[in-house]
Amino acid sequence: MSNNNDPAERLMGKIREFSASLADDERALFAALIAPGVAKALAPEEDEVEGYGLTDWMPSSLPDQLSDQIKRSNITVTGL
Amino acid sequence: MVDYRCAVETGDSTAALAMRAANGDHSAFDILYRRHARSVAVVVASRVSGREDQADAVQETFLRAWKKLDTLRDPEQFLPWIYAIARNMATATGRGKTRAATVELAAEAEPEEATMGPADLAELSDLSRAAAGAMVVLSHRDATVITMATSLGFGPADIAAALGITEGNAAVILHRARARLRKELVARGVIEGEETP
Repeated sequence: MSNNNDPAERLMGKIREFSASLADDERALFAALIAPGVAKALAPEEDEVEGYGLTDWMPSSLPDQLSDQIKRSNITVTGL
Repeated sequence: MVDYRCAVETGDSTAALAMRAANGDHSAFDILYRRHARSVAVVVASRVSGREDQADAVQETFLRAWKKLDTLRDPEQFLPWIYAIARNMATATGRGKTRAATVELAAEAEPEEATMGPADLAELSDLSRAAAGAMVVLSHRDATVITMATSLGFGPADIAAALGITEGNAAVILHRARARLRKELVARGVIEGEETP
């Protein structure tokens, strides 16, 4: 459900606006930059039956899935 | 938005949910879907190859189950009943797939037949918003493609470049998603349209 008070939802809107403002070749590059994050957010559960990985896709669910994935991923920056 | 884990972890038994769903409770059926879509997918996978086709068959199985719930005499038998639907659906999908194989290969070779212009993408986004809260079982690739379009506003050319697929393939996936969402919303009575039998 759309919620304008939700920072993740607001961010999605800003990304849409930003990508719309780009030239075609820039937008394709931007898509390539963020596609891995989208794919990661939508990845099937790890205990999926091998070979039958299906994603439960809920329209408009990316903000929640993205923030959940980031929280669970324990992302760290190393090697700087 | 419905919380997947909370929904799955309700204490209601499958039989109780099936009974509520048979009385028209959409939320009960949504929980049944989330709880059992994966096991239905395994049933389907024994007869249908290709994740996109498997996902289609799972979706069709639940749509048919929703429409036929009034024929389920014993709610305790919901799982054997829906597995039987899944097997029949998968068998039918497999037969149709064999007949359609030549046509589909031709379509793959002619991607210009599956274009998605701005108006098509806008409609897909509208349908996606209207379907918020619904859930569709998709292959990981299809889910990524559709999310890139509906949540982030990318077009087939951008998505193709990002995911290493052809623009025609991206357009086909988006086409199929639009048809599936429209069908789902018609079945739920959210929008008007003809239901396929």
